[in-house]
Amino acid sequence: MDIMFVVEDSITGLMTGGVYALIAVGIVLVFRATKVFNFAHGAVLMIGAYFYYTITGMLDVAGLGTWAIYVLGLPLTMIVAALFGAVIERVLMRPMIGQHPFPMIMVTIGLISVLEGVAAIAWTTNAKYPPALVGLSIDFVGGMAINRQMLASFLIAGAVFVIITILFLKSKAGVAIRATASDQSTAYAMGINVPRVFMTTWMVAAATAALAGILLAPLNSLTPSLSQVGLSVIAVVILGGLDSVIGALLAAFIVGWLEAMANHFLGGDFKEIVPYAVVLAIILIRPYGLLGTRDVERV
Amino acid sequence: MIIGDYKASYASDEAVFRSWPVRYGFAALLIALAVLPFGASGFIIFLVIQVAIYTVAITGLNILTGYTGLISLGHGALVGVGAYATAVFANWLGAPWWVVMPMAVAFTAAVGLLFGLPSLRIRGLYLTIATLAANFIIIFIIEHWTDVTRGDSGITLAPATLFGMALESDAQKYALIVPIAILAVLFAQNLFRTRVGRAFIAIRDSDYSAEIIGVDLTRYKLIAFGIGSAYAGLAGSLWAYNFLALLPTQFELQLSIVFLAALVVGGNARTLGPIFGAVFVILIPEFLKWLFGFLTPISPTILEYTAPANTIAYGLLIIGFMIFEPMGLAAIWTRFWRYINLWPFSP
Amino acid sequence: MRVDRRTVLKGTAAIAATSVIGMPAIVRAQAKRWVFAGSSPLTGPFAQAGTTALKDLLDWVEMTNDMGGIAGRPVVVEHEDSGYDPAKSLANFKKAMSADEKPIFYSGDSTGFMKLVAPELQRTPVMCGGTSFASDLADPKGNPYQYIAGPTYQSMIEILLKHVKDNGGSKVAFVYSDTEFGRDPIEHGKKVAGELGLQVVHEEVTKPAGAEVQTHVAQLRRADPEYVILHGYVTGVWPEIIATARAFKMETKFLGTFWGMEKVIADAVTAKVGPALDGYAGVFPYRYFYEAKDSPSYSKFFAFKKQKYGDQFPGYVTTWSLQPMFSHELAKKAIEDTVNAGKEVTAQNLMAALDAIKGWDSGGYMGQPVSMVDRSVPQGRVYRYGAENKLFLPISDWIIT
Repeated sequence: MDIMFVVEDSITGLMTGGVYALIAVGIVLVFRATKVFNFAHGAVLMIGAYFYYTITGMLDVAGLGTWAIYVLGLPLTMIVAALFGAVIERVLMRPMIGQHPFPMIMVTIGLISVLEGVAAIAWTTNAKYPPALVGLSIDFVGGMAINRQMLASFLIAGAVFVIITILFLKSKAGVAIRATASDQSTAYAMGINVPRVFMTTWMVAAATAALAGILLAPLNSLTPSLSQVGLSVIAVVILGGLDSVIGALLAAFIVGWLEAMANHFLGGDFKEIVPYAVVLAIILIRPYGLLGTRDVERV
Repeated sequence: MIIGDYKASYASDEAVFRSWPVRYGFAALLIALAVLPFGASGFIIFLVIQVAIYTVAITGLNILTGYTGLISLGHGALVGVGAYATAVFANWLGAPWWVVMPMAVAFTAAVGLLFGLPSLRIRGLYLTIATLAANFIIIFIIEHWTDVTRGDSGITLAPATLFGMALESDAQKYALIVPIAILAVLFAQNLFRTRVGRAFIAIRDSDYSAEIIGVDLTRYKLIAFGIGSAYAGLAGSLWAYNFLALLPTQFELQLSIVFLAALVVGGNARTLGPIFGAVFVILIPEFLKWLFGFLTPISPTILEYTAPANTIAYGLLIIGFMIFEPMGLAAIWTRFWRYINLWPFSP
Repeated sequence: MRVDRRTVLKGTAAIAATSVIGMPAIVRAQAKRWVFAGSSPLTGPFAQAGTTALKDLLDWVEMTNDMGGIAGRPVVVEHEDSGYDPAKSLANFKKAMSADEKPIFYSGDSTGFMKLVAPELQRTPVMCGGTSFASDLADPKGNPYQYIAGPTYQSMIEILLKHVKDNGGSKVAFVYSDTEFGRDPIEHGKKVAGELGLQVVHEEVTKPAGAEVQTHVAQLRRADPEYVILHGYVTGVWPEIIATARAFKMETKFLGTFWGMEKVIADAVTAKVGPALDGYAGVFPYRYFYEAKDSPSYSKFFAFKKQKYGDQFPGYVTTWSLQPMFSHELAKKAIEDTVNAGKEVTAQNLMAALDAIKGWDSGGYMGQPVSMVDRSVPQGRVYRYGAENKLFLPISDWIIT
C-alpha cells in the first residue's frame, strides 16, 4: 500500500513540474537571447495573474458567461502580458544592450521591488480570487487521487511548452533567436534585427509567465507575494542548463518530483531545500547543468 | 593634482592614500566618526553602526565578486554563520569578544572555503546559483540544528566588554564596532597592493589567461573565498555583538541580494564602493520613509499607497543606477573631484 | 528633453537642495501627548492584515481622542512599515526610542521582533505589546516589558485539544507553518494530547503562504485523523488545505487558532469553492465584531465608523484589527491606572499596573472579566463557521485556562 502512496505523490509532483517547466522556459529563452538571467520573472508572472484577474473581472461585468474566460480572458491576458514584456525590454533592457550582463541582472532584481510595489498600489494587497480555469475536484483513478485542476494545468502547460519548442526550432523568429544566442555580432552582420529578437523573447517570456500565473493563482489566493514562485524555479533552470529549453523541461519534472518525495519521506520543511541540495550536487558533476551548452572561451 | 594617473615611482604606485584629498579626506572622516557618538541621537549612531557592519560584509563580497569576479549570492548566509558562531562560542566558552571574534572569523572562513570548492569546477552564473543554493542550505542548517543554534526561537549572547565595561548602549557598541570596521577596510585596500590581490584581478579579467601566466587558479580562487568569507564572518560577529539576539530569518537570501545590490550601486572593485553601497542601502530606505512621511502624514486613507511607493522608489533607484551609472557611486565621486579640480575647464 | 545621466543627476541634486532649504521647521506639539509607536507589515506576505489593522487602529485612536484621550491627554500613533522583517521592525523601534518624543508604548508585529527586541528593552524599557501570542512572552521575569493581549498559542492549542476530547475524538493531526509562529505551541500540544489520551497520528509542515497543498493533504488523508489542528497561518494556506481535503471527500474536522479565523477570508473562499469551510472551528479570545450588541466597546466603535465613513463602512471590523485594538485597550487601562494612582508614568510602573489588572470589564471584547496572568489573558471560546450565514458563531462557553 505504501508504494501506492509514493506513486500518488510522484504523480502530483510531476504535474507540479509541468507548471515549473512553463515558468522556466521564459527564463531560458530570455537568457539564451540576451544573456540576462531574469530574476524578476516571478514578479512578471504575478503581474500577469493580476491582468487575468482584472480582465476576467471586466468580462464578468460585461455579463458574458464563463465561456468568455476561455475564449477572451486567456488570450487577452497573454496579449496584454506580452505587451508588458515588450515595455520592460524597450525601457529597461534596450539601453543596456552590449553591456556586461551583471548590471542587467541587477536591473531585474530592482524590477522585483518595483513590480511588487506597483501591484500593491494598483490592486491593493488584499487577497484576490480570480476564477479558476477548472474547478477544484479530485477523481480517484485506481485508488489514486488525481486533482483535476492540477491535471488541467499540467496539460495546458505541456501543450504551450510543446508549441514554443516547435516555434523555437522551426520558425523564422526561432532561428533568429538561436542565431543571436550563438553570436550576437555575427547575427547583426547577417541582417538579423537583434533588438527585435530581444523584444520577441521578452514578449514570449511574459506571455508564458502570465499563463503560469493564471494556472497558479487559483490554487492559492492572489497577492503580490506570488512573485516568490520565481525563486523555486531558479533551481529548475540551473539544473536543466541555463540555455537549454529541453533541459528545463527535464529539470522541471525532476524538481517537481523531488519536492513531492522530500515532502513524503522527510516532511514539509525539507520540501524546498532538497531540490537545491540535489541541484548543487549535480552541477558539481555537470558544471553546465544537464543539457546546458559548454562555454567555449578563447584566450 | 588628483586627476591623472601620473606616478613617478613604485612607492607612489603602491601608496595606500594616493593623493592629498584622499589623505585629508580620510583624516576628516576619522575625526567626524570620532566625534559623532557625542552629538548624535541613538538612532543615528545605530544607523552608522549598521553602515559599518554592512561595509565590512560588502568589502568581503567586493574581494570575491568585484576583484576576483566570482559573483556570490550566498554572502548573507555567511554573515549569519559568523553571527551564530559568535553567539554559540561566546555562550559555550564564556570567553571575551577578542577570543570569540577571531574564532568566529576562522570558522566562517572554513565554511566559506567549503562552499567555495565548487568554484573550481563551476563558472559564471552557474557558480552564482550554486552560492544561492548554499545560502538556502546554510540557513536550513541554522534553523534545524536546534541543539546548537536554538533554531527559530532565536539565540542571545552577553554584550562584549571593554575595560571591564559591558558594551550595551549604542555609543558603547559604536566604540568597538566602528574602529574594527575601519581597520578591516584598510586591510582590504592594502590587499590589492600584494601579489595575492593582483592574482585576484588577473583571475577576474580572464581566469584562463591568468593560469597561463602562472597564477595558481585553485589556490587563489580558494584564497578569495577564504578572505571574502572571513570578512563575512567578521561582519557577522560585529552583527552579533550589536544586536545581542539573532534569528535565522535575518540572514535569508534577501540579505545576500541587498549586499550584491549595494556593491553594484556603490561601485564594483573600488575600495570606496562598499562604503557608498552600505550607506545607500541603509540610509536610502530611511530617507524615503522620511520623505514619504513628510509629504503625507500617516492617515487611514493613504496608508495603502505610501509603503509600496517606498518599495517602488527603492527599486527604481537601483535600476536608475544600473542604467545611467553602472560603475556606481564611486565613479560619480571620482568624476565630481575631477570636475572640481579642472574647473572652470570641462573635464 | 533627452534623459541621460547628466539630467538625472542634476534633477536629483535639485530635489535634494529644495528638500533641505524648503523644509519647514518641525512644529512641536504644544500639549503633552502620548506617543504610541509600532511597526506594521504594510508590505510583504501579511500586508493585507497589516494595512487593515493599522487603518482601524488609527480610527480607534481618533475615537479615543474624541472622547478625551487617555488620562486627559491625546494620543498620536507613529507606525512604520516592516515588511514583516523582524530586523526592520527593530530598526523602527530604535528610531522610535531615540526620537525627541519618546513613545509610551510600542507595538511589535511579529514573534521574531519580540525576541530580537528583548535585549534592547532591558536598556531602553518601554511597554511593549504586539500581535504575537508566543508562549515565551508570557514570562514577567524573562521578558519584563512584554505582554500578550490574549491567551498564548499554547493555551489555544490546549483549549482545542480539550474540545476534541470532549467531543469524543481520539486521533488528531497538527498542520503548521514552517515559521517560529507555526512551531511555537506544537511540542506543548503533543504533550497535552498525550496527557489527555489523544493520539497524534500525523504532523505536517507547510510554507506560511503560497504553499502547494495537494501533497500535504494527501499525507493527511493517509494518516486519517478525526481532527486536524491548523496553526501558524494568516491569510492563506488554511482555507486551501480545508477545501482540498473536502475535494478528497475527507470527513476530518478542522480546527484553527486566532490568526487563521478571519471571516473576510472564509467568505471569499466560500464564494469561490462553495461551502467547503462549513464546520471549521477554532479558538478565539475575543468576540467577533458582529456580536457588538454584547459589547459596548464595539458598539461605540461601530457608531464612530458609521459617522465617519457613512455607508462606506461595511459594518464589520476584521479580527486582525480587533487584536491590536485590544492590545492598545490594555495599554490604555495601564496608563490610566498609573496616572490615577498618582505614580510616574514609567515602563516599570505601567507593567506593574498591567500585572495588577484583575477582574476588569473590557467592555465586551472578552466575555469574562479580564485578569492578567503571567502577562497573558488566558481566556477564549470556540467558534464555528457556518457557510450559510457566513458567520463564526460560538459553540462553547468562555473557557479560562
